Amino acid sequence: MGGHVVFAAAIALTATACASRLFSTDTTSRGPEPTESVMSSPSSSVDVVSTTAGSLPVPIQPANCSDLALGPVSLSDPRFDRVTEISNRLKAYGVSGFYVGAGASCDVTVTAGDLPPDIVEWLRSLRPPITLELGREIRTL
Amino acid sequence: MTISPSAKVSRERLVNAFPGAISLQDGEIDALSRCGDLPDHWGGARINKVSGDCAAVGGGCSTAFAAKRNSTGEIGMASAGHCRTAQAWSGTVFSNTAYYGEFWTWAFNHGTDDWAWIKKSTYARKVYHDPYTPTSLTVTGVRGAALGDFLCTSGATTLTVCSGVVVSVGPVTYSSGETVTVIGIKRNDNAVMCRKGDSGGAVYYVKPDQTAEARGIISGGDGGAYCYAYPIMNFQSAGYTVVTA
Repeated sequence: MGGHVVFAAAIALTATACASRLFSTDTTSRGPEPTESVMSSPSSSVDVVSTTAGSLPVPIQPANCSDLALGPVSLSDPRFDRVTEISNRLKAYGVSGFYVGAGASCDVTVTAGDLPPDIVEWLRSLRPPITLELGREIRTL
Repeated sequence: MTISPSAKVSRERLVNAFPGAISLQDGEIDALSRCGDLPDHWGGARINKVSGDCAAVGGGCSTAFAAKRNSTGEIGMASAGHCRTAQAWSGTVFSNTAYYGEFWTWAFNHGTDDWAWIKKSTYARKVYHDPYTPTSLTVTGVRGAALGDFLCTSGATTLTVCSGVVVSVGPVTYSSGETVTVIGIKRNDNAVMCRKGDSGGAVYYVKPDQTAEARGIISGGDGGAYCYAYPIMNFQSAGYTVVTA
C-alpha cells in the first residue's frame, strides 16, 4: 500500500511540474485541462521524485505479451498498464491527437503530431524505451 | 441490355423478370454503388446526413456490418459512434439520395467506445470489396483481431485496401479530445488505408473461401499509413451480434 502512495505522489509531482511548464504558455490548442486530481495532488516525497525525474514509473511488463490477442480489449488488463499510464499522462499534459499502442511483446509506440519539446524529452527518457512517431496527428475520419 | 451502375440488382430478381430470355455472368449484376447504396444495404457504403450530398469527397461516413440488436432481434447496420455525435447528425441516414435508416444507438466519448447502430431499413450480411475481385463479400464470421493478422479495410472514400497488418492495440486520444480503444493497422508498404469519410467502414479478414470475417469498425487515422479500428468484439459486447448467417 505504501508503495502505491509513493508511486502516485511521484506521478503527481512530475505531472504537476510538466503541466505548469506547458500551461504557462498558450493552452488553447492542447485539448482539455489537466484533471483536478492531478493538479492538486500533494507535493511530498521529494526524495522519490528526484530519483524518477523526467521519467515514468513503469510497471513491470508481463512475459506473455507476445501472446497479446485483441478480442474484447480491456485496457484494464495489466498488459496495458504502461500504455494506459502514458496515455493518461499525455492527456493530463493537455495533449490530444495521439495514439499509444502496444505491439508484439508489449513494445510501446506513441504516434502524435508535433509535441512540445519537454514532452518529447519526457517520452524519450522513458525506460524501457518507446518508439516515438511525430508529425502524425490522429483524427477521427 | 444496359443495367444502370447505380442499381444493385439481384441475380434472382433479374432472371425471374426475364425468364429464359437472358443469361448472366458473375460480376455483371452486382453493380457497385457505395454512394447511393440501395436496400438491402451493405457494409462499406457511403452514408451522409443530407440527401444527395454523397458525392462530396471526404464527407459523411461509411458503414461496417449488418448486426442484430440482441435485446430486440432487429437487424441494423454498424458504423462509428463519432459519425453520429461529432458530425452533429440529426439521426436520418442517406446514401446519396437513398434512405439508409436512422442512427438508433451509439457510443462515443463514453468510456472508450466508438460504435453506432443504424436501423429502419433492410441490411444484408455483405460488404463492398471493390476494387478487388470479387467486388463484394458475404460476411460469414466474426473474431477478435490479433497482432499480425492481415486485414482489409473497406470505406467509401478509400474503398477496400487489403494486406493491412494489425501492429498494435491501445488507446487513441483524438484531436477532438475523446479516447477510444483501437487496433492499429498498417500496410508494410505504408500505403494509405483510410481517409476522411471512411469512418464507420468495415475491417475484416478474407477467408480462404472468399468470405469475410468481421474484425472491426474504422474509427480514425493519421492521414498516412495508420488506420485505427474499433474492435468488433467490443461492439458485440455492447449487445449486438454481427449477422453471419
